[in-house]
Order: sequence, then C-alpha cells, then structure tokens
Amino acid sequence: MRYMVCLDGSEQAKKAFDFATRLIQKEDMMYLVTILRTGIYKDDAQMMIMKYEQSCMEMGIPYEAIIVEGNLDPRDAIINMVEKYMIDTLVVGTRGMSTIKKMFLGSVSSYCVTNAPCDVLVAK
Amino acid sequence: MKYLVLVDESKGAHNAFNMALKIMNKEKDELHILNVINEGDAMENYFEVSKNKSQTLLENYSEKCHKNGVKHYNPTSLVGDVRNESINYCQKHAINMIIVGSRGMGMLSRALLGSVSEYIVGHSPVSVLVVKKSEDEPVAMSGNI
Repeated sequence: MRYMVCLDGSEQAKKAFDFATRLIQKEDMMYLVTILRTGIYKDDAQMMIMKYEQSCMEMGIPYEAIIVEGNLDPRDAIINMVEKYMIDTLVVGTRGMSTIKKMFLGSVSSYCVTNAPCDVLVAK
Repeated sequence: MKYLVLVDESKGAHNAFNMALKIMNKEKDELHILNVINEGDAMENYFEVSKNKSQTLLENYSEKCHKNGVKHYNPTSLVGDVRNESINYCQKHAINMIIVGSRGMGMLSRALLGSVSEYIVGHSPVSVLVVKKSEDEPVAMSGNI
C-alpha cells in the first residue's frame, strides 16, 4: 500500500504521520509531501521534512519526500500528487497551522476527504 | 489496535470491511462491526424485519471475519441514529479508528461523500478512514462530475 502524508510543520500533521506509521506493513511505502507557499522558504520546508525522513529511516519504512514548488493551492497540489504517485491512502490531520477551531475539519483536510481519488485517513 | 467498521447493505460498507481486513493485525487487533438500525425503520411492523436484516448482515460479516482468520471480532446491532451510536460506541469501547465507506445506501450517486461519512469524519473523537476504493471498480478521477 502506498501512503501519502501531508506535512506542513504543524502538530496535527505530526499526529497524522505518527498514526500512519502504526498502520504501515511490510511492502508498504510512505510518501512525505509538503506544499510550498509564499512565505515558506524551501530550506525551512526541507528541514521540516528531513525530521520525518529521519523517523522513516529509523523505523525502516521505505519513503520518498516530495516538496511541491510553485505556490499552488495545497488542495489541488495534494490531489495532483496523489494521482501522480498513485497513492492508495492519503493521510491528513484535522487541521494544519490554522488555529481556527470553528470548523470540525480544516479546509484542506475537508477538501481532500471529499475529492481525493483514493482512501483518506483523517488522523485525530 | 481496535477498529470499528460501520456496515449496512451497501457496497461502501463492503469496501470498508475489506480495507479493515487489509490493514489490521488479524491475530492481535480487534475488529468491531456495527450496524445501526434507523429508529424510523424500527417502528411497529418493520421492527422484526429490520432486526432480522441486521442479524443476517452481521452474521455474513462475522462469517467473513472467521474465514479470513480474524481472531477477535465483535458484531453489534443497535437501534438509533447511526451518527450518534457510532460515536458513542467508539467512546464506550476505546476504539482507535473508525472505518467507513464513502457512500452508503440511498445516496445520490453524484454525491462524493455521504452525509453519514462526512458527519463521522467531523465529529469522531478518533481517527477515521474513509474508504473509496474497491477491489474491482476504479474510483473516478477527482473533479469533474
């Protein structure tokens, strides 16, 4: 099974990653993806994602890190990556860096649940 | 890990169940299977019919568990609103993850995500896996409907 975890440096994303690692079995693959937006430097994103690459290495999980440039809307970018890498299960947190707690689910997570052409795991 | 799969007679439930079998550890993990009979259906004359349907449904799924080597499975039938009952069940049984199909029965075929699944995703106290893919049919590409 091919998993893709969406990372943005938030605690929620970390939860999503941790939960995904509990499900990973032999022969599974973990794709770590982060979407660059204005205000986020590539170096910072690389540093952020490196920690997750490290964790994968320590746990013996085959992984690939993907940093998507071009200041795309994360919703579209994530769906594109899911299609490009033929992902089986997309893993998202409930919300990312946004602190708006009014909604049950952040806008990106919500969009992914509804529109992703694959299974979606919302980690809480 | 303790998994909860919500089942009804839909193909979505079937897919959700199959996914549970795929990801769980059949020796160690617990698979809880819940079918909720709608309160409306449970009224008067229809109650016996609904109860029997539920029973049969759960027996079929239990059979599948057994055939697939699942050691710990727990089928349950409840009457009420599936949304509330599933959330309560999670809390009562310390469930780690709910697995639902993306659409159940009676859904507009154009809806990408059923209202129950959507509710569960938003209100569940635990992680939720929304299963869209099935073994035989490909899922439509996102976007254009």
